[in-house]
Amino acid sequence: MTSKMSREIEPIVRIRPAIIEGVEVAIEAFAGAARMTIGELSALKQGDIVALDRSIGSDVELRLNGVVIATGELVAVEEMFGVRITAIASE
Amino acid sequence: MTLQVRSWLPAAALSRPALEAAVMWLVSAWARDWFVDGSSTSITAVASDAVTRFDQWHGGDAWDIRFDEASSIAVGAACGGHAERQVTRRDQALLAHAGHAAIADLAERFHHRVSSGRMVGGSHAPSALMQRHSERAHQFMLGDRQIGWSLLIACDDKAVIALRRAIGGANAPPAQLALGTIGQALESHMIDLGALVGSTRILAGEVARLAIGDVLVLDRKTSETLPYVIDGQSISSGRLSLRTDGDKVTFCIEQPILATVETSRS
Repeated sequence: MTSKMSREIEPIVRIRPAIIEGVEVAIEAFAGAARMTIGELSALKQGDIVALDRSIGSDVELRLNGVVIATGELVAVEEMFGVRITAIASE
Repeated sequence: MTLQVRSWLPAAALSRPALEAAVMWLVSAWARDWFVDGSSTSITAVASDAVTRFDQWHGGDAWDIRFDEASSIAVGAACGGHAERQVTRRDQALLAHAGHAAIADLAERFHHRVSSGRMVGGSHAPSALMQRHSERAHQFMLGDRQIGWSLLIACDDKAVIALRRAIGGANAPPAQLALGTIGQALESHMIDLGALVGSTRILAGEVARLAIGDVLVLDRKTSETLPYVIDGQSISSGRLSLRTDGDKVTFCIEQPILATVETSRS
């Protein structure tokens, strides 16, 4: 049985790019981050302001599995947030 | 038997209705907690009688409080200036007064003896208490001069919580964050709090073809608040909104990340 199957299936050397290109992935847009202790985090209450590590006008990061793949400006697309890509990560 | 408990009070007790109310509440609350046969009616009577017997002590900034043994212990716990230190001897605070020592003793005698937990106690405890716990009384020195004694007794969590209620006086006990012991141990641990604006799902092939100028529409409305993202993990219980402050982008906390629980007063 095994030898029959191995004869019928053509040996595949590489995964076909079309399969990979058809995989759905999630891209996340981050506006910035803040670093703090758990104690500080737990003390946060409603109305508190936490400054991010980015200035107004700074691009947001587009991350794929946590890796920054591009940056862009935050825009509104009708009632939704959107990101217009301004730079593609070089590495 | 009458014990004398000397504790520091910030001002004349009877001129401070809140303090008087605190003492009243504490006497009854402590008694309910710690005395097996304490009935609310008799306890209220004890408290009422106790409050009328505040006498100013010399110096104007401290008071002698003379009650029977049970209520003096309870009243002592109402007064400010307390010591608390963990078994690990961290967070040691030696400036202390009779209240903690008294109530720790009470907790041990009427609740149960514990071998672990926090060491609770204080200085200026009544001599009878010091004698009862002579093996645990600590002499503290200033140079080679003895300046006093403190008494530290292991108390379980219930006793510690009750002590904190006592420090809070007549005010409602503060809401406590649901961090628990593990969370407290990790309080100094640094984390990254991320502002996730939104996400979108596209095909990997489309990712490879993204170019400058392309617009990705995210899954979040501009009117929505955002979830916390901590170390890559989205925490749905907390919400925040993006705002600006000067030239900085900021989070505004719309809903704290941890649910709060109210300490029971009963």
